[in-house]
Amino acid sequence: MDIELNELKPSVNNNDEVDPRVEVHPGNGSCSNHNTPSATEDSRLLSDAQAAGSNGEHCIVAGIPDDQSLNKPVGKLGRLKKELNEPVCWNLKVWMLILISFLLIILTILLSIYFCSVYEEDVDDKYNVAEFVVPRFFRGNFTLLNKNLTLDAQSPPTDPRLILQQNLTHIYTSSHALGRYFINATVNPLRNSKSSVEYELKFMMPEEHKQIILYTLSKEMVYHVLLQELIDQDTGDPLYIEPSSLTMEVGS
Amino acid sequence: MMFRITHCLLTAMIVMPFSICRGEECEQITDLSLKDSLRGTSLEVRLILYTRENSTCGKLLSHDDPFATPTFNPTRPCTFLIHGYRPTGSPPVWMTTMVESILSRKDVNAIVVDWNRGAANINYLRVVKNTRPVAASITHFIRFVDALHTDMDAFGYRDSLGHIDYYANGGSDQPGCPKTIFSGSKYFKCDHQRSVFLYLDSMNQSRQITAYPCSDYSDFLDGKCLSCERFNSSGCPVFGYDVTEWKDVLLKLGQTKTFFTTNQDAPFCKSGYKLEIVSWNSEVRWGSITITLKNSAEETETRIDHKSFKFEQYTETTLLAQFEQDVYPVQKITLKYVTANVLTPRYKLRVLRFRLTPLKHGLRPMCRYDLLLEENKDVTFRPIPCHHSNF
Repeated sequence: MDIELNELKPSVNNNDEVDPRVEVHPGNGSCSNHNTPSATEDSRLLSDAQAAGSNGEHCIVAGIPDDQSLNKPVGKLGRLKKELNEPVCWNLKVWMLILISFLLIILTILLSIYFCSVYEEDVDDKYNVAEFVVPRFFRGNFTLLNKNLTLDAQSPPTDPRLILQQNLTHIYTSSHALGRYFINATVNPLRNSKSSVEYELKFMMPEEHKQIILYTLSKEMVYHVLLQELIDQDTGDPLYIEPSSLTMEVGS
Repeated sequence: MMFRITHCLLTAMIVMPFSICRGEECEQITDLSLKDSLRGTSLEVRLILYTRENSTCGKLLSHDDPFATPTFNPTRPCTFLIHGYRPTGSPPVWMTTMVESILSRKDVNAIVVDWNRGAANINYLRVVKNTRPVAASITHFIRFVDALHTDMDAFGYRDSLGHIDYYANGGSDQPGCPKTIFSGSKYFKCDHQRSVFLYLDSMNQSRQITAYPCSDYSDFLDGKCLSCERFNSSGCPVFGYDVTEWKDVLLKLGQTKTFFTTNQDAPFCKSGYKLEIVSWNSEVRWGSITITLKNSAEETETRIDHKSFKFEQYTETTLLAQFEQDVYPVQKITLKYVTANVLTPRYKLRVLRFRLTPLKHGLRPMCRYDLLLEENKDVTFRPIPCHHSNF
């Protein structure tokens, strides 16, 4: 708090007259008692209140009208402090409420940023299968390691033809790039061979597919997605397909 | 610095005076003190010969009559070893090891050019002036010069000097060397001294470092300079001792600026791969890649994050992956896509084809198709052999 220093001049007539300038001006922000009759040798220039309090500290001066004290910085600050310390409900004080609301605002901002970032959808995750209208086929052969298997029709749960079909379907539906375009896979045993199998894969592409057939639905891509799964397969599988036997051509 | 000439023609060689001593005692590089360096020393060149007959005991060579030194054999090639700036006046610690390594590789006349009087001077510019007469004493015998830059931002040269210039780790700051002055004297000499350790390591044939011709280091790091076609069947030159095998082609090319990166300790050689990624995200993705190579015994990881790379739909992005050690054969690869963004959605990099091609000649590239790399998430797979590709 600023306290303006006023020059104190000794009174001309010692003790008798009071020089108006000697009186400490209340506007200086100091804690002077305005009611001090006069500054004489007997009376103290400063009120008890200020003498007791340390410099710059707020003190309440008796006898000063409220509206007057409102104009003083000391009073403003004091009032503010007082108001902040007023209990609102239970033990909550005003300053606590302000702090809590600030924290809430920050938390809301952070949470919204977090949720926006987590839940913002990737444009490539959104697609409409109904827009995929142009078919694209891939055909080829592969050979099973197990030569003793009969691929002729058997009861559904153990039919190796159906299991192979399911396996192919699983590989392509779980593919990140090809899954959305995949329709079905059909498997048929080759006539003159016991363990060789002919397969056909059907995909559907959007109307605009110039780039797609060069990259995503290229033979290189469709072939290698299957080949790498064949290389990864468990060698103990009764329907183990020899990876090196895999062939593929683009069909019409 | 080291120079080699195929036939030893020493007779007309020395222009600087030096003392002749035919005693039986072993010669050492002049040992001076910091006091001498502060006072300044005037140039004096001595030639000390080491051969397989006297590999630990140096003999002084006379400029008038080199044949007077019994172990000197003019039919053997000569290798000159020349030290550099010696601010403290002490003889270089690496010289003995270097001589031993050279002699164990090849039967040569290893000649240490001792110019410590002249190199020990607190005034670096004075020493730089002295290098000219020292060089003049031998350069007219030298037909092929290779120069290694490891400290071009301090006590080194930035510009090309030789028929082939090597810029190790870009030529300035070396890995493992202190970045601040708080590490004491090491801060001043670590980068500079690294050149010697790199050269020593290059004598071990199993640790050879391939140097790639390139216009600047950032292009090299971006994998833009991995073509070695100009060297025909011999491939890109190696760094160090065995570069003489590329001497003819390098002389024909005039000047070649080459780059390589090293580890922070010996073995300094890194295992390099070219990494190519074709993605299909419809929006452009930026980021860096962390890649781990594994087999049942070993594992090595590298982060290619010197900058953020651009991944565009149906476009191949090429990166240079350099690992601290060699893992062979690679059984498993782990990839991680990392972006610098903090408050953005977790991006996904949708990969059509991943291809990793070993830079070592004769090793086959490895591929994997259809990968979804979620930001900061490891994806592990078994690589498959690459076939002919159409995109």
